This record gives sequence, structure tokens and C-alpha cells, in this order.
Amino acid sequence: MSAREDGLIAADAVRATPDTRAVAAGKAMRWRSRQAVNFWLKWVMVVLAYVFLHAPLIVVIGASFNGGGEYAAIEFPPASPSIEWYFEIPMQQFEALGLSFALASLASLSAVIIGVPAALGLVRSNLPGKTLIGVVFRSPLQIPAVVSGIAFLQMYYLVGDATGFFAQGSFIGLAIGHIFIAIPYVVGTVVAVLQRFDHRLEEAALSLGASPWRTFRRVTLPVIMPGVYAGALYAFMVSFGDVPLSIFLTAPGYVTYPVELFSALENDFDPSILASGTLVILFCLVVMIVVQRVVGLDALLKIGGTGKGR
Amino acid sequence: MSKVTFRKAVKRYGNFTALQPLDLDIREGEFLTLLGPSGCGKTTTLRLVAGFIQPTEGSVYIGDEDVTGKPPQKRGIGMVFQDYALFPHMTIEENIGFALKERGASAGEIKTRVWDLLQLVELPGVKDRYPTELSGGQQQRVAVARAVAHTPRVLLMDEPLGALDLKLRESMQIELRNIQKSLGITTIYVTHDQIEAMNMSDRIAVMNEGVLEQIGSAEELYDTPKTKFVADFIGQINLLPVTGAEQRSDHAVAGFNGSEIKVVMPAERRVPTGSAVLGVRPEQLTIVPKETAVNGANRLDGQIMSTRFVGNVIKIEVGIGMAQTFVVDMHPSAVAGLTAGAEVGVVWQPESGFLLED
Repeated sequence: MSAREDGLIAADAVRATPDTRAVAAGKAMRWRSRQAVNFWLKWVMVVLAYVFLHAPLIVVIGASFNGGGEYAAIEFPPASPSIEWYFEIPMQQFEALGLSFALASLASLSAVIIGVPAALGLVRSNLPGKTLIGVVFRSPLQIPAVVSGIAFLQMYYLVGDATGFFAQGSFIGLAIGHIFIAIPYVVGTVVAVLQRFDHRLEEAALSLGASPWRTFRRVTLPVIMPGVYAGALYAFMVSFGDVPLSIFLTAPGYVTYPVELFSALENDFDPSILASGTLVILFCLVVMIVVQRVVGLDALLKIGGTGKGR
Repeated sequence: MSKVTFRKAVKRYGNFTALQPLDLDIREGEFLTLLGPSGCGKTTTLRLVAGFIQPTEGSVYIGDEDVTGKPPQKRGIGMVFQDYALFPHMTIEENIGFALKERGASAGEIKTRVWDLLQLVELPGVKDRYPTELSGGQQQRVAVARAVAHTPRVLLMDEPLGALDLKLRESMQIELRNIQKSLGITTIYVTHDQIEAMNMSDRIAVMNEGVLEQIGSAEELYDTPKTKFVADFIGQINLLPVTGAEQRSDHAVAGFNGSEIKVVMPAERRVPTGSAVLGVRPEQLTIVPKETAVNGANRLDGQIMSTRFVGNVIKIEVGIGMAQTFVVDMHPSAVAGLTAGAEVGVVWQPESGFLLED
């Protein structure tokens, strides 16, 4: 491209009189310097984006290796490198981590079980009031999580008054809330994939003798699977990182990891929080690598991009 | 290998009739093409055989079995789609073996059959690849192999070459036809491309606005079109509105701009009673000097508007009055002096023309 344009400009220069030749040469030079600016601008943008996204993580990870006993504060780069804070992480943070992991797994699994059929119905059926149902499934995204948290708490009180079973501060109570906020992510991605789904794939399967159920199992489901994985991953992350909803539904001794960190920061801050944060960052990295190996992250990013859109 | 029969099959969507009552007999082992512009009902007809849609009235038979109301998976068909519709998550072997697996074939049987089919479509050695790793033409061959793996009773093809470029399309036409012949499988093929239809088919069914206009071999449709639509759709033709068409003892006559035109048609063809058009193919016309005596042939005088060189012939457009033109195909060696503006006569034999209802 650039060679060709250079050639064109050069050809102009040859044909031209000395006067216009100088003008053409100037044009070529300006064009080249514009290319150089474009090139560097692109790099600067990329670097800035990376710094913006990763600087907080790097600071947290770096500062977690700063020793210095009781008087420690966030210091980056670490003044006296040490891993001492990794041994100071309180046990309840690990317990909270375990709870959050179980909760996020259950929430994303349940969101898939509820969300995939919902998405199928929303895209495929001609149910009256389909749009309204779609709005209902997306609504958890539109309600601030704090409001949802209060609403759930109030509901649990009401249900508790009536039945004697108080769900707040229980696993089941937390799980219901988390499933609630996780569903829109699964419904959203699966609806997107289904809307782009080439229905001729299903017709092909039927014409080859597969029953509707077999067609769903052997063709539809595998083709939309990247979308399901993507939705499940979002759902997991949303549940795993949630504070505003969970803070209302946890009880002492029964606390999710983000809520635990939150109260630790408020009450007795020390660099062990940075250490445990670093462990979670590493854990997430490992999850990402595993997902990349098993499904392929690009598949998740361009959800359902296997079929050709038309 | 079965025949396919339509009996008064109709398809309506609300007030819109996609297919007017259709009676059609497709013979065993025949390659039949449904040809027509988009929206003519050809795809509707094909999908009625596939079972993706059901007729509003009437019935569809495959072999002697009435399949009306039967779902596609129980019809024993194979289908090739325009965009191939290969399963993206399956290898070529899994794609081709799909129907066999659904029928409970063993892994060994599937392997052998897939190998045979890949030989048939001349794609040995791709069985472990995925569809996206193949070119368009290769994917289309795989789609054909997949559609015939279970030896279906009928093979249905919906514009299967539409996504390919021209050169590849021509070679694939021959290849598809050869595969179809070697399998001897009844095939219904949908296209809007008349050249493709003529290249491949035993018979062509020309459709327009939900109506089957005419069915016949390419030669029949070209030489003796029954309707103006067919005459116009198959090949190139000059259509001239004429007046006062009537049958005389051994020939018919019609008037144009004060001249009498003589038409000799086969006995089974009727002179239309309403308004009529005269149809005559460009290669049946020749150009003579103005006012040449032509004893027995028809001649209309006019002026050459333009000439166009298209390789094997030169197309000469002659204005013949009343804002009508005739396109004449002339051999490049016979056009000396025929330039735009020249006054000439256009001549054709009475047997070359035919009268059609307008």
C-alpha cells in the first residue's frame, strides 16, 4: 500500500517540472511523517490503555510484598521486600473465599439452567408478551444492587415472619440473590448468540433424520455453547465480586470474600489484605488460562462467531 | 430413488398465496430444476418436499407414500443449502456421517461410507478438518456428500451454487450433475439462473408468482415456450405487441404498424384470442437491404440504432417503428456496412415466430 502510493507520488515527481517536483517531494515527505505519527500514536494509545488497566493490579501485587511489621502501609515499590504478610492473612478470609467460590459456582450454574431455556423461549417462541418477559429477565441489571439487596432483605424478613425460616445470612438466601443478579448475563449472551444462529443448521439436521430433540442436542446446543460459557463466566465474576447486594444478606461468621475484604479495610487495615488480594488475582489468572485452554477466550469474546452471519 | 408428486398443493400465508394449486410429477431418477425469479414459489415448492412447511391444501407424495403432514426427519430426504449449512463444530467426517449416526450405523460403517463419499466428491483426506478450513467449493462438495450419505429417496438442492464465483459455479454444475447421475438419485434443484438450469436439468419447471408456467426440457422451453413469461425468461427473445391475430387455413397472421406478419406454428399451438405478442429469437432474424423482396418470409423495415460486439455474434438493434426494436444476432463476418443509422430490413421465416398471449 505505502510502496504503491510512494510509487505514484514518485511518478508524479518524474513527470513534473522542477517546481512542481519540489511540491510533490514535499507531499511525499508529509505523507510519510503522517504515517510515522499514526504509528506512534497507536502505540502510545495501547500502552496507556494497558497502564490504565493494569497499574492498580501491579500496585496491589507490588505493595503486598512490602514488609516492615506493624507500621506497614501501602508502599510501592516495596521499601523492604518480604512475604511476611502472606502468613498474616486471617483464616476467615480463606473461609470467605471458599464461600464466595461455592456461591459463584452455584449462581453461574443456576443462571445457565434458568437462563438458557429462557433465552431459547425469548428468541424462538412467539409467546404473547415476549418483550415484557425479556424486560423482566434483564431487570436485575437495571436495578442498583443496593436496592436489590434491601429488597431481598425485606422479603426474607417477610417470608421469615410468615414461615419461621429467615433466609438472610444463610447460604440459600445469598444464593437466591446471586442467581438473581447473574441471570441477565447468561440470558443476554445466549440471546445474542441465538439471534445470530443460522437456522438452516437445524433444518439440515432435521433433513438428515435427526429428531427435534436430537437436533437440539447435537447441533443447536454445541453451536451456542461458547455463548453459554461466556454468560456463565460473566455470571461467575459478577457473583464473585459482588458487595452491594451481599452486604445485606451476609451475617457474622457467614461472609463472602468481597464483603470480608470490605469490612477488613474499614476496621483493621494491614497489608495482609493486599496479600490476599494478590492471591485472588493469581487465582483469576489461572481460571482465565484454564478457560482459554478449554474453550478458547476468543470464542468467548466473539460469542457464537462460528457460524457465518447473514 | 423415488418419484415425487404434487397433487393440488397450495401454500398460503394469511392472504398471500405463495404457491397456487400445483400438480407436478417428478420422475424417478430425474434431475428437475425449479426455475424462476425470487418470490416465484420455487423455494416454497422445495420446502414442501422437505417438510419444513406443510401445504395449506392438497398433498405431496414421495414414491407412493403420502408424506403430507410428515416432519422432515421422517421423509428420507437429503438437502443441500445455499450456504452449505455444515455443522461448524463437527469435522468433515462427523458432518458426512451425521445421518448415518442418527440411523444407528456403527463407527466402522460410517468410516467406510465417509471414505467412499469423499472419493465420490473428489476430496480425499479432508475428513479430520473442520468446515471453516475448507474453501467454498470444497464445503459445497462436503454438503453434497452429507446429503446423500444415507441414500435418501430425494435429493433437494436450494441454490447450492449461489455463493460461488462464476468459474467455479460452471465446473461445479458439471460435477454435481455427474454425481447425481452416478447415484441415479431423484433430484429437485432450485435456481434463478436459467443458464444453470439449462446446463444441468433433465427437465425445467419455470415458475412465476406462485404458478407453474411450463415444464419441459431446456429445448422445449426454448423452442416452444407456452407463455410470454417463459419465452422471456429462457434465453433472449424479441417480443412484439401485435394486433388482430387470427388463424387462417395453414398459417396465422397478425398485424404490426400496417404490415401483415405471417406465423406458422405447430398444430397444437393456438392463436391467442386476446391481445397477443409475437416472439422471435435474435438468431432467427437476419438483416437485408431495405425493401428487398423476401418471398414468403416476413420483413419489417427500420433503422439500425446500435451494434454491440459480444464475441461470437454481433448484436444489432434495429428500430422498427412504434418505439419497438428488434435485436438481431449476426455473425461478425456478415455485418459489413451495418452501422448505426443504416436503413435495413429485418427478415425471418414464418416458422421461426410464435404468437403468445400478452
